[in-house]
Formats: sequence, C-alpha cells, structure tokens
Amino acid sequence: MNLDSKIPAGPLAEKWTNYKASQKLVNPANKRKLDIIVVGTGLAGASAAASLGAMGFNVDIFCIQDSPRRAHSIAAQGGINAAKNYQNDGDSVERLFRDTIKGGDYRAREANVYRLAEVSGAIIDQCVAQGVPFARDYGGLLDNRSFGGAQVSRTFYAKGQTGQQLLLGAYGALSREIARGTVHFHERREMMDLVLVDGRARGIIVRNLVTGDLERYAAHAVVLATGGYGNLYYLSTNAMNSNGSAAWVCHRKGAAFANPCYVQIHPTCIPVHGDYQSKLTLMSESLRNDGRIWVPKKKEDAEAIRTGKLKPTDISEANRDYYLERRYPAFGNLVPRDVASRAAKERCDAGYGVGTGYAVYLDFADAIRRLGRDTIEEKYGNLFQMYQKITDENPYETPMMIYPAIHYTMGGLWVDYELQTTIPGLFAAGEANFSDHGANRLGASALMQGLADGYFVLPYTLQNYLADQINVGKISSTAPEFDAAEEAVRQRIENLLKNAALRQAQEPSNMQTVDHFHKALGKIMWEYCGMARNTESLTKAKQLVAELEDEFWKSVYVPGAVNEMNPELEKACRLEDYFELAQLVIADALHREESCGGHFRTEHQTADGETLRDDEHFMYVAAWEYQGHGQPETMEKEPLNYEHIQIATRNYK
Amino acid sequence: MRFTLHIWRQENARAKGHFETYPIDNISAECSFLEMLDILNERLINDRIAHPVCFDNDCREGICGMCGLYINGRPHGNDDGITTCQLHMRKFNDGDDIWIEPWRAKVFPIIRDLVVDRSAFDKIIQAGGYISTTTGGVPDANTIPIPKHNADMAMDAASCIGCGACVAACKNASAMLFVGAKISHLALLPQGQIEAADRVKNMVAKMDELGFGSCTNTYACEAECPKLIKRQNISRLNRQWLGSLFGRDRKE
Amino acid sequence: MNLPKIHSISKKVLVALLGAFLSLFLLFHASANLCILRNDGGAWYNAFCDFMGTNYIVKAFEIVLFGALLLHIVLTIWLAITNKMARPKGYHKPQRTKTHTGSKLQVWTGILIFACLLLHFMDFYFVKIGLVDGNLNFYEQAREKFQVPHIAISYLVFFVVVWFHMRHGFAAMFQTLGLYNYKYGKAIEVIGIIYATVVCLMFATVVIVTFLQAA
Repeated sequence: MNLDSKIPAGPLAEKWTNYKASQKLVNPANKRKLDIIVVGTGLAGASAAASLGAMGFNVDIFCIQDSPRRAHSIAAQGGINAAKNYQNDGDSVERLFRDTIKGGDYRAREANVYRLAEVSGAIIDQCVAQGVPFARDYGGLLDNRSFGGAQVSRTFYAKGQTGQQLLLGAYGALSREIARGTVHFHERREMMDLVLVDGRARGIIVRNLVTGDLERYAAHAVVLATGGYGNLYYLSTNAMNSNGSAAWVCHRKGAAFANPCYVQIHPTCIPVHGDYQSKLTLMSESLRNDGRIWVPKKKEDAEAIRTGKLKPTDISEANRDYYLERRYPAFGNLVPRDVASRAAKERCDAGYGVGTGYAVYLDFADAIRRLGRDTIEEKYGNLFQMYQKITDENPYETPMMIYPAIHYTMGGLWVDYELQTTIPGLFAAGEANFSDHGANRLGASALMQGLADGYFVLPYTLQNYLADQINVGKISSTAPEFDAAEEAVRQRIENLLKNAALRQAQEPSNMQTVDHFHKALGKIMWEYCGMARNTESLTKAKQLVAELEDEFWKSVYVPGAVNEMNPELEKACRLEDYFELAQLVIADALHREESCGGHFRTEHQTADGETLRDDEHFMYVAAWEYQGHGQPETMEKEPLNYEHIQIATRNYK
Repeated sequence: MRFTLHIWRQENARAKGHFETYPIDNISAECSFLEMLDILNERLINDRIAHPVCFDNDCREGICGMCGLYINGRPHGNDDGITTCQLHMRKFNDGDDIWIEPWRAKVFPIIRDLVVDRSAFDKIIQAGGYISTTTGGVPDANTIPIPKHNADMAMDAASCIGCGACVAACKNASAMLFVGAKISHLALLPQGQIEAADRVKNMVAKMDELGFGSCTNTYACEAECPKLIKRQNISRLNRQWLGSLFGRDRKE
Repeated sequence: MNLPKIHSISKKVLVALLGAFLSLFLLFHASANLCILRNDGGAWYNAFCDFMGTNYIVKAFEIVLFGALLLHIVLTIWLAITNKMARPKGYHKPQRTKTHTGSKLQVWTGILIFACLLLHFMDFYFVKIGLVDGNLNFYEQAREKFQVPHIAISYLVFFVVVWFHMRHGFAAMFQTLGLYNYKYGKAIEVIGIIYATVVCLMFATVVIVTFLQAA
C-alpha cells in the first residue's frame, strides 16, 4: 500500500499555489475525449460534476434518490465557514486553519486543512454568484454568526437551511450542465462495485433501483462523493438511504480506509423516544449561539422532572447547572461538538438527566428576554417549528430537550493531497474521504469541505491525473473486468435472496427482518463503541458484532425478487457491508490507545475528564487495508508532520 | 392506537393498481407517520402477508422532499406546513380509517405502490432554473449588496423542497407554485436579472410541454406547501412572464 | 400554416384581460339601467337605448364585446380541458385542503351565467336585433318583465351568480396579471368584493324597485 500523501514542497501558505502552477493540464479538445464518473449528488458530487462538466469533460453522475437535490447535504442547517473577515473580528485564513486543526485535535493533515481555509472565501463568492440567498444585514451585506470552536463570527447562513440553499446552488449549476449535455444524470442507481482495469479505477457497476437491473459504466476516472457511514449506528442524523457501501466496495477493491473510529457525535439532537424510532433529528449547532444548556443542580429536582412532578420552568436560576459555562468559561456553550457531547453524557450518567434521563435542556428564555421573541423567531423560526412538530412542545415557552447522537464520520477513504485514494483513478470527496477534519469536525466545516473539494480542488487535481490518459481512448464497458465485476455483484445479491429463501423453508418461525439486525448492530455500536470506549467494551463489541453477523446469515428474511423495486434487498446489501465496517471501526478504536476528538477512550483522560492525547505514539493517520471477509485488516501509518503549527493541548477553558 | 389503513398497491408502472386494507394496532401516538408504515412493513414481512409497501423517504426531517403521500384527502396529511415524515400519529384519532394514495398527475407516473416519478421537476429546472456561472471567476460576495428584504423574500421562495405537494394538491395538477418559487427566488436577486427573461420563457414552455395543468387560482398549492410558500410567487411568475413578452428589446 | 403556440400563462392573461373588460362593461350596463328608476316615463332610458341601437361606433363596439365574451369562454374551456388532462386518474378520497371555493365554482358559475345570458338576450337583445318578437320599448319591456315574480327572482339569482363569478375573478385577475403582492393582496380582495357588490346591487336595485312599485 502506497501512502504517499504527495504534499507539494514549499511553505504551507504557498503549497497550493505551487501545485496549481506546476500541475499538468488537459487542453479543451482533449477534455471532450475524457469520461468521468461521479457517484453522489451532494455538495461535493454535484459541485464537482458541475465544474468538470463546465470545463468540458464528459461526466456521468449517479444518485440513489430520484433527483440530485435530495442528497443529504440538503439537511445541513447551521451554516458554512469562510475566512472572509467581513465582521472585522480578527479572522484570517491562518486563523481558520488553526481553529480547524485544533478542533480536529491535531489529527488532520496540515497541508489539506490550509488549502481548505485558503479556498473557503471563494466558495462564498461562488455561491452568491449562483444566487444562494445568504442572510444579510440591513445594509445589504452578508451577515455572519459564530459556531463551536471559534471565537470569531465566520459562519455564513441562510436561515436554518444553509445546506439546502448551497445544495440547490450546486444543483442549479449541475442542472445547467445536464441541459448542455456535458453531464449525464442517472437517478435511482446504487453503486454496487468498482471496476479496476490494470490496477486503475475504470468504471462502476450500479443497480437500477426501479428495475433491479445491473448496469455498467466506464470512464477514465471515478469520483466517489457518497458521504459518510453514520448509519452504521442505525439511529443517526443521517438520511435513511445514506450508507457506507459505495466506499466499502472500493475498500474491498483495495482503497485504504483511514481513521474509521473517528465518528462525530452531535450534542444537540432531539432525544430518542421509542423503539420504533427510525432516525434522530438534529437541532442546529447555531442554536448554541443563543441557547444555554443546563440540567438541574440537585438530583432530586432532576428526579422530579423525570417523573413529571416538576416542570423545567419551576427550577429557579440558582438551582440550574449551566455545566458548559461552568466548565469552559472561555467558549461556554460554544465548545466543539465532541466536548459538548461528552459533557452532556457525563451529567446524564451522573443522574442529572431530564426527560427519559438521557436529555439535557437547551434554554432560550434568556435570549428571548434579551432580544425579543421576534428576533429569535427570525433567526431560528424554522428550527423551533421543526422541534415543535416532532415533540409537540413549544420551545418558546419551555426549554428544548436535547441529547447527543451520531452525526458525521471524520474517517473515510484515505486520500492524498490530490484527493486520490490508494487506487489510481479513484478519487474521494466530501464526507466520503478522511482528509480535513482530524479527529473532530467543527460545525459549519462540512459544507465548506464538500464544496471546496468539488469546486476548487478536484477540477485541478483530476486534470493532473487525466493528463496522461488522453491517449488511452474510450474505456470499453465490455472488457472482461466488467463482466467479472457484474457477475460477482449478481452472485452476491442472489446469494442473499437464496440464503434467505433456504432458511425460510427450514425454520420460518426464526426469521427476522433486515431492520431487526440493523437496529441490533446500531445498539451494540452505540453502547460499546459510541461516545466513550475502552478495551473491555470494544472487545465485547467485536464479539457481539461477529455473533450478530452469524445470526444475520442464519435468520435474515429478505422478501421479493431481484428484478423489481425492492427496498428490503437494498437494505440487506448495505447491512452486509456494515458488519465488516463495524469490525474495522472497532479494530481502529481498539488500536488507538489515546483519546482525541470524537474518539474518547476512558482509559485515557485527564483528571477532570478531558481527552488525553498521546502524540508520541499516535500522531498518525491509521490507514487500513482489506484482507478478505472475516480477516483482520492490516494497518499502515501515515505520520502527521506539523511543520507550521505549534502542537498544544486542546483547551477551551 | 389502532387504525385501518387503505393503501394503494401497484406492482409496477404498467400494472393496474388497487386499494388494499391493512388493520394495524399498538401504535404509539409519538410515532411518526412513516415510522408507522415501517411498523406495518415489518409486520407484512414477518407474517408473510404481502410485499412491503414501497414509499419514497430519505431525510425524515422535512427537508429532502423525497416523501409525499396523499393522506385522507390532503397531501402530507392533515396538518399545515409539514412533510409526510413530520406528520405524527397524535394527529389522528384512535380507530381512524386512513386512506393513503400516491401523488396523482399525468406528469408523475407511478413507479410502484406509493412511489412516483417526479423527474419532470428536474426537467423544468434544467430548462433554466439557475444562474449561469462557471466555477471561479466571480466577484467578491460583498460586491453585490442586496436589500435584506429582498434577500429574505428570495430565501422564502428558495425554501421549496421540490416534493410535489403543490402539484398533488392542485385540481389541475399545475406546477405554477413550484415554477413561481424558483422564478421568484432568482428574480428577487440582482444576480438573477441577467437571464430573467429567457429563464421564465423557457421554464414555462417546459412546464406546458411536460403536461402540467395551468393555475386557476384555487391556491390549494399554497395551503399544502410544507414550506409555506406563498401564492405571491405565482403572481411574480406571471409578472415576469409578461415582462418577458413585452420587456425584451432584441431580435429573435 | 402553424397556429402560434399560446402558453398557458398567456391564455390566462387573455382570460383575465377579457374578464376585466367584461366587468367594466357590466358597470357601464348597470349605470345605464339605473335610468329606469327615473320617474320620467322612460325618456332617458329609451333615449339611451335608441343611441345604443343606432350609433355605428356602438355597433362596432358590440362586435368587440361579443368577441370578448366568446374568447373569454373559449379560452377557459380550452384551459379546463388541458387541466383535466393533467390528472387522468383522480384521488379516491375527496380533497380536504382548505382552498378558495370561488375558483372551483368559477367554471360552474360561468356556465350558469352563460345560460342566464341567453335568457336575458331572449328578453332584450334578440328583440333589438329582430330575432325574437317583442316590445321594442325597452323601458316598458323591462318594467313589464321585472314585475312578474318568477322572472324578477330569476334575475336576482342571476346577479348572485354574477357576484360570485366577479368576486373571485377580480382578485384572480390581479394575480394572473402579476399585480397581486404582499403589500396590496388583502386590499385587492376587499376592493374586488366591493366592486362585485356595487355592480350587482345596482342591477338588483332596478329589479327590486320595479317589482315593489308594481306591488
């Protein structure tokens, strides 16, 4: 496995400029001869496809839903960071870079993060030109708010629907290219396999989710923008169809998977309320600008609230514990997500939780008193409405209840500076790669990264790769490699159905649905490999997952046939991959004997419960290589060299 | 809670569909409508009664626009300003009969059961629902000041999620609110002015060509829009259309 | 030769403009009718009718008016047919959306108005152009007809139907012409109701007063 990160030479601030100045380009006449496949239509995928199409490449883009506009980027609420310093509050590229590295607990690659900060401003310019209706102040200029892990206001937003507006901007650009014929759009397709020809990524096999047919597409390069694998935990803030399978099949074909144990747990989600629950809903981090988080100071008050004897509004100011403001006076309610999540868990585990015991309050009473209800409504109206629709409680009158939930995965396919994976010709962008957020992602940085990758990085780095491909000619999808890949996928699907049918004939009473197993897997992962982990819990998780997988093959029931719209079959295929992925997440968590960012090992913490890094032994990216089903994966290290930044303990106090 | 569900079942685009009745009990009032359907499907599978009911859904927080069911005579069910996934069972009475139908329109053919094909919306957007920019080479974001009021109105129009409830609710299956929202979003911004005339011309032509009905000012769309997009956007669309007919000074 | 393609919005704009024109005509017609109430033995009214029947400009205008009415009808039927085609299979459950009922009634009130108009023409207009026999003194003709209870009542019903049609049509016209906005939306609707009410009341007053005078 070649883990050459290909970081350009030169001082940090000049690396990207140097790269662009010396990279190879493809001339316009040759661009027309080159085909690119983009999988996924979220911010990264749509922006990449639109940019590449506009440059003149032939692009095929695929999405699992019925329209590119449905990708889960659309659900991002709070905002997008950019080092514009429009507020004159001391922001700069350097500051955004430092905040991001620090927020990621010094586990991200310096050069990538610096480039991200460097192009962040151009993203805002691009989006405004596309007509994204960012919030403005009365003078007509752009407004900002602040997000966790920053002491400046650098977050641009469009009400509580920033992700939607940014995605619609990219969707517009993509639609234009589709109309011009440079991009071909394929809806309701799920990527089932990656096709390698002579060691290079040359195409994909997809399943048409309407007809069930397998289809093959060939190209000179493949871009994976398929998001993260948060749904491994079953209950997450991800969409129902978000899954890790596209990245996982690439991993099986040889792409290294980096830092799988870095999953982000978002502190402000609506708490779990029942077994039938299918997903968790996020309440934007922006709410922490004005909302104050608290639990009762006295256990008996918490107890009384849980049993319904007291209402939150009955607890006097003196009897409330604003624990984030108490523990982290400098950042208060705006500490990074991992810190806020652990603090909530700590309070609830100690018996101060409200609701079902696994919830804390997010209170706007102060803000409403200070700013007036109208201002709060204008800022967060749609979020409050969303909360009320779900919980039937009015957040203007009673505090919101929130609890942490799985939200984002910092881990993903290993990529170099060019966003190329260890498979030549396979690129990964957005949440699907691992590159920019280290062990914890700051709020409003995912949108920034997705668009940076799609608009401003891939259009350059892909050219550098494709420049040698102009003489290859059209890639044929009738090559034997395609036949083999398609046949393998067919076998795999038939196996699932045949196995289910066989078991069904033998002992029909024992059969369970796919969701049954997925829920069980999610519970194991949340319980033993969630917000806090240790050797014991991880070893247990490893064993439980293996047992569950056995059980799955013995008694999963998948109804229906191959050649029809069959959501149960789709879910079964994804779950099959999740079992392997779960083992890798556990293995990675086990090997990383330190706490950093979203990865919190209870053996490694400071006296006051903060993360305790071990820079001497673990300052590296763990890149895992697939060794076959059921085989432990092998790990290689990409050392992280901090040349520019002074490493320090993360301190938000 | 206990309900009797009447659900439209149709095996594929060509098959003839029919209603099927499924009783369901033991449903928590806190359950969302789609979670109730999940439970139904789990039971249909476990008791080997039928193929699970297919319905589109994704984000389940009311923003992706994927879900859309016609429930007891109303798109997205009996509440205002929500999508189907945000509808909760506490909005129903114990013992209710619930009729669940797919969106009905010529332009939204049924794919299976409650899943319909809404690609017509994408085609309308492809006809011009964007501002032509290539990546890079654009001015600094703050060189274009936009009155807050306009930006806010543009945002309200732009919050459309493309779910199709407006078409489903309209007695004419008209897409005027959908088109009006996109036209308004871009017409309210200075960046959108340059292509305004062509945009409205092309989008309306595409809408007509695809076979959507026309607006007869019933405003069912406005009443059912999960994002509460207002009819004023249709008026602005009409204004833009007239402007495109008379306001252009060029040869064609 | 290819017929020029008329887009749905253009059709609707035409319908709206023609509707506006017809509404203005109704105001004019109602104002003229008020002359019947003058206690002058129909001098003013008959003079007016005479002018209307002989002036060439008015005659030309008549063609325009009927053309407008016809086009208004043809275009709406055309739209109604394409609208029906947009949803070949309807819903099982009847719609429960809160909507503006005026719009759903519009086609039906339109058809009713057309039927009533034919009867109205039997009484007056067809007499004028000699298609139907009758009293050419319209003042007498009107007073005679309006004093018959069932005719008076049917005319009053006719005005109610016209009121509904105009009330919805007025605001809808502003909407279709792109003149309905956040600021004046409510005002337009109120003005629409006032306009429809004034015109219909003017018509109705003539009928009611005449009827009461007989009683």
